[in-house]
Amino acid sequence: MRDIQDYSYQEIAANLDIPLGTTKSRINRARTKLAKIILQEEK
Amino acid sequence: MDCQKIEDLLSAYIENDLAQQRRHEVTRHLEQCENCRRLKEKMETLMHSFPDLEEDVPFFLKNRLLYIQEAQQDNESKYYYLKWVAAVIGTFILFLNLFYFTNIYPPANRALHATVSHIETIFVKTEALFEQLKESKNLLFSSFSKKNGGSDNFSNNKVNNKINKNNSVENNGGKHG
Repeated sequence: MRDIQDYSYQEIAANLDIPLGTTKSRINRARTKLAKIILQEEK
Repeated sequence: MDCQKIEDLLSAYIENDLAQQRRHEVTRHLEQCENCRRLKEKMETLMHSFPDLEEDVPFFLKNRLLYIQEAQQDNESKYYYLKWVAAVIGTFILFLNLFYFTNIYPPANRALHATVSHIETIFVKTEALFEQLKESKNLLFSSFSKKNGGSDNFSNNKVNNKINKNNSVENNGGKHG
């Protein structure tokens, strides 16, 4: 929802009915995880 | 600052969402740590290339995905089963009306009409009983006042006989049930 559909953090939190902080931390974790996986693949 | 902490801040760092102090700390760390720098750059690349990936999702699928959450909450609501109870009762009443007003299923039609007659007679009997009780009450009061005032034995006897007659009729009626 964030990087592909470009929703704001507020919109995502409201849509999924979760706190704002939760959305930010979840998105952060997903991004770092994905980046790490791809870096691993590229080696 | 250690790399784990930096990782947690990278998202906010890239989106410019950090306080100035924090931001400086991260910048300094990135200048020195190649692993974190690589990670940060990869994250940035991904974030900026994602918009190109968007596909047109079929309308129905999109809506269903968005409202899965709502459906789950609906199931957890404590009034959920109440809706089912109301639906069942409503359907039941609907069928009662159907069988009562049409002859689609004669046995049910007969049974329902018989039940309604039965209820009617109960109502009528109850009405009569109340009427009697009212009369008895009035007579009781009037007989008291007559005792204190004048005497009117004739009318008293006549009325007392009437009450006894009604009571015996009531008892006989009760036997048949």
